[in-house]
Amino acid sequence: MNLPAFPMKNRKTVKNPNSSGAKTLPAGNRIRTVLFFVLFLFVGILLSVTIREAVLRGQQSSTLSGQYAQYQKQLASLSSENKNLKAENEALQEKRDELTDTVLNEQGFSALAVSLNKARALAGLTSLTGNGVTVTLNDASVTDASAGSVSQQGLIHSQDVQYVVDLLKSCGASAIAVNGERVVGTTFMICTGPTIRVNNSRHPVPFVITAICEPDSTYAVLTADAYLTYRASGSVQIRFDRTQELTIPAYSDTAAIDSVCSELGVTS
Amino acid sequence: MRIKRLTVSFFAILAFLVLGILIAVQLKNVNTKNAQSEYAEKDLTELQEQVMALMRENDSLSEQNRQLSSLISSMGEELSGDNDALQVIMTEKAKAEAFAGLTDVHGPGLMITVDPGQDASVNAKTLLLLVNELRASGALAISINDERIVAMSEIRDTGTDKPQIVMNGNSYEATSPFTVKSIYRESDINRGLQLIQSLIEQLGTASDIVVSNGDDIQIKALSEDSLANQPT
Repeated sequence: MNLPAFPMKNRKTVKNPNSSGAKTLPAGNRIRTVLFFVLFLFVGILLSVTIREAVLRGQQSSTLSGQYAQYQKQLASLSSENKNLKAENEALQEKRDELTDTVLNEQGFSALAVSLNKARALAGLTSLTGNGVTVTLNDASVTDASAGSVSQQGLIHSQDVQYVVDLLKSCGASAIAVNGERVVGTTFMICTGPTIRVNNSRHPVPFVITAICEPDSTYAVLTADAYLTYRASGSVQIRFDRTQELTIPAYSDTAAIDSVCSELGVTS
Repeated sequence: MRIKRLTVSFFAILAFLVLGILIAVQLKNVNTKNAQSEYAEKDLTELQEQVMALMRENDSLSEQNRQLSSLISSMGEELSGDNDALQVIMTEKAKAEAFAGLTDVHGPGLMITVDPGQDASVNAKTLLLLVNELRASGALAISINDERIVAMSEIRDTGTDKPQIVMNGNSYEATSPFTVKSIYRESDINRGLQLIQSLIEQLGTASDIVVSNGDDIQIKALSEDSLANQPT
């Protein structure tokens, strides 16, 4: 590139060693040329790096979003399959219970049928319907939080769900479920990433805790509870409802029951 | 001459401007790229984990449904004169009773004593934290002062002048020591011990909490007259 030169005072000239001496390049011009060369070199390198990065990021992002969409599709399909399997499981359990009663009563073991039903009910292996309360726990919405993103204080943790479950037990609840998962003797709740694991299933927010209990007295205890009032003031969303004709599903993980029973000395 | 000078200055300014913008863009990219890719990968990993968990759950449900279908079919045979199904029902009953906490059980596990010390009391919150931690670490059966902790067992404080702790409808003096027993699978005991020790450190309560493991911990069944033994 042939750049125009600035006029300079006391301009020094140097002879071009390769020329015959007829043409000379001013020293200022050479420095300027070198500086411009370096400048454009930097601009060129940075431009190419930036373009390359943009192309790579685009490719990476499309790969990630492709994988994300694929997993979401798979998750939706598995959730639908899970729903069907649970419905089938519930129907089969009902049929088994009916047949068990029929078999025992036909053979004159009606007392055995009563004690079996009692054990099943206490273990949480039968569904239960009655009046009760529904507690819904949800993270703070982003608009509630001052910083634009939800802080730890604005998230529902497993301890919050456990607290509500323990409170409902102390109110005399006869059956409790968290997002449809029946609370049994071995149930625990732990945070796993953005979800909470209840029994062997993971559940995202909102957490809907249903309990069969005396609705009015339990509702009064829940609304007056100091910890829940404090959590609600920290922008998490907590809602209490008195509900009529609630159905709490049975615990149906027979593999887990078999495993616990086998460890406790009861074998098939 | 003046035009030439202006042209050079213009090019120089333009080149520096482009250089400055590019450097700024590049620096910003370096910062945001790391954060973005970290979040994107984290989200994807969480989604993968959810898919895997649901796959396992569906496999387990399919197996359960298969077993139930087989049981129903054997009960149908019972109705037509086959005696095997009665045995199956008796086993089901034994399992339901064990799972409900209606049978005495024993096995390897942990023994925790909570001593409030002089002029102090144990509160229900401490016992609830211990029970929840025991469950989370895989305890199969739990009792507090021989009161079997079952699905709907309540543990709550009551009384102010004379504090007490109510479990399964029965009251216990909160100023007395409490003994928490639990039975584990052999493979889970060490994990349980570590988690309970860690919880005790976090609690830092005035109560003296001591945990030890045992080879044959005895846990009694839920008492017949207990409030938790009355199904609705």
